[in-house]
Amino acid sequence: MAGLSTTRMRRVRDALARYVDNGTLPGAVAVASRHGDTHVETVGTTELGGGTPMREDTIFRIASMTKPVAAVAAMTFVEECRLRLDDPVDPLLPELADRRVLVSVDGPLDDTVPAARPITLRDLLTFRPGFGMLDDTPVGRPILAAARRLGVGGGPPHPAAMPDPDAFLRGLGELPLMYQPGERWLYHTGSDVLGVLLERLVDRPLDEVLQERVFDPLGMVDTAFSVPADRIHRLPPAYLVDHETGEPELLDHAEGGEWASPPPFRSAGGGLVSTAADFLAFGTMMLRQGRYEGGRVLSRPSVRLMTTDQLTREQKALSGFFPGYFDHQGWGFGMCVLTGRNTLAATPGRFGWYGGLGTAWATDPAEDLVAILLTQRSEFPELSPVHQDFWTSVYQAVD
Amino acid sequence: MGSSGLSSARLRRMHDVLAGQVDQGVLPGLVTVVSRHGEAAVDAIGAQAFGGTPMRRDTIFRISSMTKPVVAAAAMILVEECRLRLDDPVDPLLPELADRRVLVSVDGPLDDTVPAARPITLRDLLTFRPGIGLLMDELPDEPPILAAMTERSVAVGPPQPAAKPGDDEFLRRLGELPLMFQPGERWQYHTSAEVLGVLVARAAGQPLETFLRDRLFGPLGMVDTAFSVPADRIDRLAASYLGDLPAGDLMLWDAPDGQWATPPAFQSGTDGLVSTADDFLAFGTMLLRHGRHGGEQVLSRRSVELMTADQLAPGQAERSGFPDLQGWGFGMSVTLHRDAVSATPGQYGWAGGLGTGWYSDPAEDMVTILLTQRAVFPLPSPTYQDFFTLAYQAIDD
Repeated sequence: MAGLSTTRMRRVRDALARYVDNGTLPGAVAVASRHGDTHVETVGTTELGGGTPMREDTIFRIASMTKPVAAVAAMTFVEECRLRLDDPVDPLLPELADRRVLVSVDGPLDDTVPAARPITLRDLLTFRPGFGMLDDTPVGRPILAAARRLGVGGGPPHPAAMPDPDAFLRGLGELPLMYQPGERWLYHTGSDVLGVLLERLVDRPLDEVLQERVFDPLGMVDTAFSVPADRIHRLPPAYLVDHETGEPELLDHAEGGEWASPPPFRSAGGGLVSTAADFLAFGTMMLRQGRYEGGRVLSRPSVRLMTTDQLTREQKALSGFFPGYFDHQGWGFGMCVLTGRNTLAATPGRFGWYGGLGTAWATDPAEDLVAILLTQRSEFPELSPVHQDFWTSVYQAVD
Repeated sequence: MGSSGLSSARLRRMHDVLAGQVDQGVLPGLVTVVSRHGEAAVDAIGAQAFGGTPMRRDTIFRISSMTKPVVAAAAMILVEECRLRLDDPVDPLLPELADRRVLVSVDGPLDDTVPAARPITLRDLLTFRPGIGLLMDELPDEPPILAAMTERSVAVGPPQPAAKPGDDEFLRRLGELPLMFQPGERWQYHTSAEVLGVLVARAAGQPLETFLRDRLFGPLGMVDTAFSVPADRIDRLAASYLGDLPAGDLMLWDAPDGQWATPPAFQSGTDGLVSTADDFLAFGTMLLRHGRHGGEQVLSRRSVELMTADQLAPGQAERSGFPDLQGWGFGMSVTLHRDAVSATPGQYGWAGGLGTGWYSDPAEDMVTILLTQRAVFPLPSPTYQDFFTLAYQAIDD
């Protein structure tokens, strides 16, 4: 049983080809795998107005899809009891001990109260450490200006511009928290801190940690924090969509760009590059609840834990990228979990995440499905017609 | 991987981590049980005391609060025979607790009371809502009710069987005091199970230990479970340690020839029992098998389902003062949320503060038991935290 209609899978290709034809994006690689039957579609080229054809092994900056990968690595240490979910991070990250918390998130940096408790590993995994991305309205929040100045703010990934891990932690440690630990979901920073925590735990750089814990077992041969010179021709340029004009602008050249050499900061929040085959291996391991051919990355209870919504109703009401963001979804460890059936592609229990530079991944246990979209056109994935059409097309092909 | 569905490599990881903690002096030794699909892996590591004899599979442990679910099961045996009813007032059997008065304010004077809105029931005792027990509220000064409990040796504290008065005297002293809250209002730890033990004994017309032996321990083959350890088995009783703040060292809390070496005046239904790995595995497996042991139905499936279903009203777990409490059945906790590697919704069990823990997990068809005598207070025990993670990460199907 294939489980995906070949006729209807053509619509995935057609939907993406329309965006190539009208110049929205140069090209894309799409994967849908159901009951182990895998379809890979390549459309268009690597560059707007030129480039070479997209290939199945084209390398993409997967940005925030790094987050679930780092969370998996962290859980391997939890299973060994080298980390505990509710232990304070302070012994490994003394820069974050004795936090102070802003009285008002809009207020001055010296108007603070002591944190009610230390930050824990659970806070980092569930994005509740009290610090993360915030929109800048009302304009000019002092905490955001300070975060940007110290290189610990959010925004599109700029690996080459990041401070090194110690400087990153020092910078973060100079700032108060935005909210109390555990209080609400705040995007991004928890993952970057998690990466440093893992590095310090084993006293090795994060690329080596992920290599040993995730990439080697799963055969993810092209997933890394940078692209070596002999593969750089497989990395397309990245485009950022201008908010005003809607036009894509070049964000990163491939050769000589920010992913062309090992970065000073191995960002667990957004640093990785990967391929369709590599991320399919990751998504399939998650579908098989930790198993891969030849062994196990994590136990089933750990995968179930990571893919169970961990946010409270109250936290959901306060958190998210926009009002109502968590009406039909929640957050596990480093990834989103759907809780409602509000679109054609939404299945309760489906989990995964996006990359802000134009990528997306979901694993759907109920449908036995893994789907991945890889582009390098940056926009808010959940609001992007390209992404929406991809997910609709994949799910209407379920047969 | 055998028929247990557990990875032998990952069980070895469990042994290595826990043996490492013994090597580091975190505790002298322990016994672990991971039983899945009826196949038990039992591991005895280290010694029965620092510098003592080797830990054995049949080493005897003070299981303290793991007494609570055992006494709850005993009460359900009487409910099934209609000798007790869940919603009957306890007053006829426990007249000392009839006509309760309730403090107007929990930290107010003892004579500032209102009448209880209703009598205490068996259900209140089983679900820990009789209106008196461990007080977790943060209060500026010690409330008079706590001082009065301490004065009468009916306060909440670590198990000290030798320090408690007998059943009748215990109840007489407790009856002198008002309740902290209205019956049914709050989940409060500890005291309800002490009262329940007396209720079961009076209802059965036997000492609690005799009733437990006749109806539970005998049928289940729990040969070493009792309120004290006879002289000819005392060499199998491990030494009990707890943290000595602020130094963080362990100090001896109870030696084998200590408080459990002689039958206590008060057979405490809240924390009095000693047991072994195989004994408690029999209890945990009986519940997992919905009351069945061998050919015998010790409890009906309906009773077990009731005991292991969350009985708390909305908000009562949150107000319990126990941050990890999700749900509570009869004498034991019920897991409602998947918030740890070892957390499965529907799993039930409880811990013993002197260093033990047990969960039965219907969804995983698994019983996990940790037996140590390194208390989880006043310092948290890394072994207690890690054992359940290690057991669950060994699941390989």
